[in-house]
Amino acid sequence: MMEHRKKSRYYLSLLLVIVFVLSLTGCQASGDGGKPAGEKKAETRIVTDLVGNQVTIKADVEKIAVVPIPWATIVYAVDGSGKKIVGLHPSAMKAYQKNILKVMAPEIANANSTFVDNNFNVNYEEVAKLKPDLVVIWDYQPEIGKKLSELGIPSVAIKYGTLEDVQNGIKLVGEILGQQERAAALIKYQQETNSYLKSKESTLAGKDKPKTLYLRDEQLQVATGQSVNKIMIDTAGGVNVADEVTGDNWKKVTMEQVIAWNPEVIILSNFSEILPEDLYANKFAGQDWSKIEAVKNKKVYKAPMGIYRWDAPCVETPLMIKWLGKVFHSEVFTDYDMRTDLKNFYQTYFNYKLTDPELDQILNSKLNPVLKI
Amino acid sequence: MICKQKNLKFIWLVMLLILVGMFFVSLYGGRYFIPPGEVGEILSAGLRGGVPDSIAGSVVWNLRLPRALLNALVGAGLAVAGASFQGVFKNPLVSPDVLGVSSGAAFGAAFGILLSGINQIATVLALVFGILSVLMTYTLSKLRGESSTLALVLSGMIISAVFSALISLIKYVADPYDKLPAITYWLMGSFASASYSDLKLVGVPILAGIIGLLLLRWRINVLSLGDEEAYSLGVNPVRMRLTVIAMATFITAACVTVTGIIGWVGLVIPHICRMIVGEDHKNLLPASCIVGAIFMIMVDMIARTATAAEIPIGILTALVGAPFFALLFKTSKGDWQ
Repeated sequence: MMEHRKKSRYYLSLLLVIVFVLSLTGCQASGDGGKPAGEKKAETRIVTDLVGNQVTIKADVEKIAVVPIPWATIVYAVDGSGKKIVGLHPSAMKAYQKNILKVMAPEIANANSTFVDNNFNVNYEEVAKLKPDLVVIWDYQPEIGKKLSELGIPSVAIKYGTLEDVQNGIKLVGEILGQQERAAALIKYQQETNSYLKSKESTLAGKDKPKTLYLRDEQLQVATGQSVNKIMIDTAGGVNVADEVTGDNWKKVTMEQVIAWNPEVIILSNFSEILPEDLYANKFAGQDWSKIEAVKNKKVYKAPMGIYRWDAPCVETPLMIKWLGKVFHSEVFTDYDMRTDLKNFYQTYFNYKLTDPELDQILNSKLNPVLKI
Repeated sequence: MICKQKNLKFIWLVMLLILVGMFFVSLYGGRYFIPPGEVGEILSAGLRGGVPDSIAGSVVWNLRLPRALLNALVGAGLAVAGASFQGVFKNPLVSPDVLGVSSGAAFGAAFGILLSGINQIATVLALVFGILSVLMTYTLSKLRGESSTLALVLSGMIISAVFSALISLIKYVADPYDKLPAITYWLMGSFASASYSDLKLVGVPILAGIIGLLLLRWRINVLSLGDEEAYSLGVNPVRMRLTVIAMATFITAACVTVTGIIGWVGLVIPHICRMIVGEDHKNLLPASCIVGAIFMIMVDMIARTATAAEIPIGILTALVGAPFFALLFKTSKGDWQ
């Protein structure tokens, strides 16, 4: 009996030792962080992401998984192709299915859109299966970055928000993909737009700024005073009526508040299926649009949607601002030809020749018949 | 009980005056400023059938008035349903959502929004699932071969848990840009979409339920004495209990259908009323109606005027209701038997 117990104790301690040794080697294997096993040192390089992390990545990145929704299209724009995108957000996939990018980059349809869920939680085993060389994440997701690095997958963080954040992100993506020139060209286009708009500033100063409401959906969520849409409206020579509303991006307000603001122009986002007709017909229960200036004067417009929704910061944001300029002050922007510029933009940066029906699809021309763009 | 019987008439008068006063105050207040005199003109013109075709006219007649009416209706409905539930179950901690009504209706609405956005489908599904969940609760409690209160409450918890999980599932799969905000806002409760068509849709069921419960209020007294007493007084307690539960459920489901989930009203208001008019359901039920309506009009006024962004009313009722409940709990210990 005693003998037996001793023996079992011996086996138990042997087992413990084995487990311990195994776990040590396990630690070591996962310990060398950003470098996948078997990778030679010469083939890696270091980039600095937008939160200042030094990230070691493969010299030539071939597979990218993108968590932030608009950034899959930014990767596409910088690379000029979608073939390196192996994963994107389900909502980005949904936008892709609906817009022109599906025609321009059919390869993205094969990308995985289940590795991240609607709440931006990452399924690590799905990611591991995708074997990406790199994952793009939001700046507020350091825990996900840490977890990924334990799996040997490097990640870079980007920021949502100002146009500067977008430009820094484009630059970073250019560096990662070895497409610095294309990235620089995209940024240059943004800066040229800025100086073009600057040149209009003095003319616009004397004009009445139309009071504008940027409406996200039928829930009465509107662009706040800290949203990127406010910047777009301001730059294009309008004024955001919802400036007093605080908080990021979109906030829900009451109909009475909208009536108190009485906007002269209303822009409808592509985040919802809401249409100008809905407001003209006063379709929503508990809302009364009939007395609003913009509705009375038929100045409700659906925002365009190119390779992504123009309502969010993206590579096409400069085009969005110029479109708003046309909406607000067509008499000031007479020298600007939106259709030609859009065609050139797609030709230059996406190597895609837009047809006229495609142009109208992007500009939502059918929904905005009074706009002569 | 604060007051003696002879003061009761005075109390009723005061409560009714506060209700009427609150109702008018809510028509005068809002983010869009209208001079009080003009509000009065619009109202009198509207009653004569000619609402002025102006912004102010539209605000008062199409936004504030239906909203205040719906506030009063839903507040009264939820409170009277709560008081009835508490009487029937002889338990002051019971509220309309205890049998799974709210979670069932909420699931129905969330499912409807997921399928086709906010529209009539969501409303109908909310009502269907609200009633279905109570039927499920009832059937489940019957499986034990007895119809005890405890079995009903436990079954209600089970059904609620299932529907809560299903709501989470829907929120999880909903598109974060498109459907999720609508579902989330709806689950927090809101009168933002209040309209005359809402009133038409749920006005009759809620009013019918309230009137039905008020007519039965003496019998609820009998029920709260216990089953044997009830039999001896010639009331079939099982049948009566089911009738009351069915009415209260119908009211709750109808309320949830148009406003989303608004918690705490059905729990807290009856307690406040017990402090004012006493335990007797003869007084308690009408008092709950009035105070519930006052409370809802008041809280919704905060929700729509405090900031430019609308505050979901479910958050406010919980923030106002819970501390108040805690205070009651502390000051009136022992009175709730």
